[in-house]
Amino acid sequence: MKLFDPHIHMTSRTTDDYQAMADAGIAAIVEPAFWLGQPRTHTGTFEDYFLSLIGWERFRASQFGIRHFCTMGLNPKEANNPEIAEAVIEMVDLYLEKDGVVAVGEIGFDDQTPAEEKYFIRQLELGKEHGLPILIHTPHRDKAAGTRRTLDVVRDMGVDPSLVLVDHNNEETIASVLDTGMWAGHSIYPNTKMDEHRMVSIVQNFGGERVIINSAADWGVSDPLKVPKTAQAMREAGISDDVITEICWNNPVAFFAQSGRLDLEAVTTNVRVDQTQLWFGNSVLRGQTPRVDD
Amino acid sequence: MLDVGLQRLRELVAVHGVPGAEAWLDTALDAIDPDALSGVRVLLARCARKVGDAPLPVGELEAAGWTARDVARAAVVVRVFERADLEVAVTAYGQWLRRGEQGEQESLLRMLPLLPDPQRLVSHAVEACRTNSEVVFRAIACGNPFPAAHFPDDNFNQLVLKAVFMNVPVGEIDGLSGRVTAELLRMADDFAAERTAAARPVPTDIGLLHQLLESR
Repeated sequence: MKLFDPHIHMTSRTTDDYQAMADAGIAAIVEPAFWLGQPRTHTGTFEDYFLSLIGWERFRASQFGIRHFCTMGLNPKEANNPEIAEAVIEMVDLYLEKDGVVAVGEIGFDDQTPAEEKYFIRQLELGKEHGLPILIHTPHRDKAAGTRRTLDVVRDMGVDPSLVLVDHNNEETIASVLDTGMWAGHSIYPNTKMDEHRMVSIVQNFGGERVIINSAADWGVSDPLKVPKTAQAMREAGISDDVITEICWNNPVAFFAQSGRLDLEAVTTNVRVDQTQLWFGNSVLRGQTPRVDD
Repeated sequence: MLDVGLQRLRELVAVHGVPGAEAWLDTALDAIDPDALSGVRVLLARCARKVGDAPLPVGELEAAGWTARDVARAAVVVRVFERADLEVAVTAYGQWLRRGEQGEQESLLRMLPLLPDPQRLVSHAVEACRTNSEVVFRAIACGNPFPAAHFPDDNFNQLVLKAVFMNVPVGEIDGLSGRVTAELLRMADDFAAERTAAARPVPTDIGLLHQLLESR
C-alpha cells in the first residue's frame, strides 16, 4: 500500500528518516513552509528556506524514492513580526507560482492576533489569485475557539471549502470542520496533538471521507513514521483497507491535485532512484555505493 | 514596577559579581556612546563572563530569578536609555532581544520593569512570549511584574495559557490574581475539556485560576 504524508518538515530530518519512510511505504510527501523553531531576523533567510523547499529538499527526497511537494506561506507566528511580514508576503506571491508548490500554507492563527488575521486573509486571497488550495494550521492554545474563528474567516472570504484543508484537528474540532465541507487533517504525535489510537476512534466515528492524517514531524520530538504506524493501528482495529487507502493516499492526492501541479498518473508510479545524480555538484552520499534502480 | 536605579544595580554587581566585575562594569558604562550603539551588543554578550551568573538571594529585588549577569546587563541598558534618544534605544532593544542568545534574552526580559516608557516595549515583550525556550519564557512570565502591568488582555491570557501548556506554574506569574478574567477561565476550561476528550490529565493549575477569580 502506497502511503502519503501530507505534512512533514523534512529540512529538519535526516537521510535515515527518508530511508525508513521509504521502507515503510511512504511514496509522496508535502512539506509545508513553517517556522524554524526560533524567529528569523531577516527576510532573506525566508527566501533561502523557500528555495531549499523547491530545490535541495526535493532532490534529497528523490534520492530515496519519495516524491516531494511543498506549500509556501508566511506562518502565523512570524506574521506577528512587522519588520519582515510584508516583505515575506511579497516573496510568497512569487514562490507560489513554482513547480511542485501544491498549496498556500501553512497559514492561520497562533496567538489569534490582529496581525495574524490580516496575513491569513491576505494569503487566502493569494490562494485565489494563484488557483491553489489552502493548508491551514490551527492554534495549540485556545484551540476550539481558534478553529471556529478560522472557519469563520474562510467562510467570510468566500473560499470554496473543498479547497481548504484544516490541520491539527482533535476530537472536539473535527465535526465542525467536516460540516463545512472542508478537509480535516490530523497530526499524529508522540505526546501532544493526536495519537494512533485516538485516531482509530475518530475514523470509527467519522469514517474516511475528507479525513487526512500526517506526522507533522519537524525539529521537535516527533515521528516521521506516524502515517504507516497509524495505518497499521487502523488495520489492527478492523478498519478496511479501502478506508485506510482513502485516508492515507487517495484523500491527500485528491486534495493537492486541485493545484493542477500534482499529476495523478505520475504520483502513482514509483520514483526511479539514481543516487549517482548530483544537485549543483552535491550528492546525498558520503562514500556509499549509489543505489541505481533499473 | 521596580524602583531600582543605576546606582543600586552597580552595588548589586559589586556584591554578587565575580571579583573585578564592578570595575569592569563602570568602565563599560562610561564607554557607552549613544551615537555608536553597535558596541553595546558586545557588552551585553561579555557581561556573562565578566560578571558571572551568581543568583541573587530571594528578596534582593522585588522580582524573581535574577542573576548577577542580569543585573549588569540591566545597568548597561538603563544607561543606554539615559543617554540615547528614546526611539533609538527602543529600536536597539528590539534588535538585541531578537539577536541575543538565550541568556541575553533572559536578561533583556527580566530588566523590562526598569526601563522607561513601558508602552513602547510591550510589543517586544509579547513577541518574546512566542519563544520555544522555557527559560526565555520564564524570564518574561515568572516573577516579572511587566506582563501583568502592561500586557493587553488577549496577550496576557495567551501568556497564562502558554504557561499551563508548558507546565510552568501559573503561581509564579507576578500579578496574576489581578488579571484573572472570565475570558481567561473560558480559555482554560476549553483546554481542560480538550485534555479530557483526549483522555489526558488536566493540569491542576486550571483549578488554581478558578480559585483566584473566586477569591477576589
